[in-house]
Amino acid sequence: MTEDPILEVLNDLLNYDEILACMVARQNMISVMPDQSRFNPKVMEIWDIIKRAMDDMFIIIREYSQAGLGEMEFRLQDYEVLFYVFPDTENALVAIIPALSNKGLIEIEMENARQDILKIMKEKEEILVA
Amino acid sequence: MVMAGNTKIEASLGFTRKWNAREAGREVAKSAINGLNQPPSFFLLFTSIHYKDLGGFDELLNGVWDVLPIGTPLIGGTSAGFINNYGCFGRGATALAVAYPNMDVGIGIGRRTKISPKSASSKCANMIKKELKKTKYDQKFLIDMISGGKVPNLPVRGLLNYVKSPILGNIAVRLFPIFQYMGFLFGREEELLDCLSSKMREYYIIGGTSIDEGNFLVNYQFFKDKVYTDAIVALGVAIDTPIFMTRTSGLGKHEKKFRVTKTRCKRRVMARIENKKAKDFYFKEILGLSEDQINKLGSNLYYKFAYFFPFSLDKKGGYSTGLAGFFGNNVAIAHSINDYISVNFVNGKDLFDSIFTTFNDKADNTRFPFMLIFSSSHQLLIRNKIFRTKEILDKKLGDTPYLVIQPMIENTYVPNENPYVGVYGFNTLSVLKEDSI
Repeated sequence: MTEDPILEVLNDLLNYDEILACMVARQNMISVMPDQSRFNPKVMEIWDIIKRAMDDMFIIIREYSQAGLGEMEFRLQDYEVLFYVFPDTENALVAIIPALSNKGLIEIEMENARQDILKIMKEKEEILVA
Repeated sequence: MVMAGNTKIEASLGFTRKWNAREAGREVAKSAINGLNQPPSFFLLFTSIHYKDLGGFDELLNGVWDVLPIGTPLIGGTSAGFINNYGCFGRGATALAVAYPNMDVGIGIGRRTKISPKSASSKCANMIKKELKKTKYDQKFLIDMISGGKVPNLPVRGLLNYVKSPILGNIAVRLFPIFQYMGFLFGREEELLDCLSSKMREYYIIGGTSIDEGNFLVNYQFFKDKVYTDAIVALGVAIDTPIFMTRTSGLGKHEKKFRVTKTRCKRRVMARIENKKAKDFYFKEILGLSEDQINKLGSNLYYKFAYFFPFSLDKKGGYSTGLAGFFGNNVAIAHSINDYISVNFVNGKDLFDSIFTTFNDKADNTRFPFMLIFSSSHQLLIRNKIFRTKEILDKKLGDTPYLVIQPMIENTYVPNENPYVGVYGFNTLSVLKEDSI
């Protein structure tokens, strides 16, 4: 069976030391998530509270993505959660990183991942239309 | 594949995102030379630091030489990231291969740059001069990569770029010569370039300092099929077509100068500015922070300020540099200080303006077979907004193969002008196509 290409992009992101967990999600729903065994165990310890905070952030994303909201982030305890919104949708690429990360590198690779996923989504849409 | 081959000068970009070092080496070389109709006259290789843990740089070079014709002059090194026609990347490898019959190429290397920069620079320059001694071409340029500064990472203590205690800070500064001898601390780029430019006066020089992803722990330089950590490597070219070079700064300058009244460690550490403790003066009087704010930042102090408030030095070329660390009341910077410093405030607008200045609308940007750019660590400052840089370059340069390398510090020299070592510049190098002259 061929692996979901979006999952491949997410698995690629998890190769970076400072990306502790990542997924494509919307409010109350995780659309694509890599094998959780690849997530950093420390993140999993506080996963419930992170997940609740994420869901609250998705309310804002749903409200403002049509208005051009591109990125959001919040800091919780020793972690930061980055949201890279897919334009005009309620979905976002989400990554959890340590609070003092090298964002120069991470944000570039998050942007590359967002563009890759957008391309995959577009291709999927074209197949469905055809 | 991006290539420009309509004229006799051919240039082609290599690029890979493969994780395995050997495979990445093969792919970056293959994609570059596939774009040429003749063997490359030289090959520039730049990679992110990640291959250190993904097979190693020896394996990456093995992969390159699996594909690259034997004897091709090759230099390069690690950079914080790169932009090319394919995109903006913080991980991967890229290469620029150029082929042209009316061109002579020589490469050089000098080692132990942190201990004896003048000797390293001289050796490197002499090797190139020897190889290009009999050239009949009078247009000359040189591309260099220098081993950057490294922060010692001590067991238990961790990174040695912030020491709060004044006593321990003073002790750390006293130990600097030992760390420097061990290959850590300052890159000594200004000494290397001053020497290199004095020996290669007729060459246009462009280059930078190799770096990891921004942690300043380790960096690598490539020379032929070998990997080094303490070297200056350079590639000299003599060619029959005019050279194009620009250097612009993205630094927003603070006009006020401050007198450095006490220095340590060969003038690389400021102990007192305007007769006040250097750290206090920097934070309280220049940046306007309160004691409470400084204390709240704690060990984050270094990373909050290192990239954003670089210093300008009162040297001939107006060198600029970033913070190297805080040690008690001392402030260390990457270059040696004369009597005065000024502090710059960096912002994205100034950085983008420097790009527009280079590629203004009136210039004919189709006359270049390639464009090589050194622009220090923009991504650390503007993060994913760096994709805007690519948009501008795509618009201005079209299909011309271009490569932006992001070193720690960049260096340039134009014949009959002052050499420059600095940060947040936008420096370009190319030659003119024969049919555009």
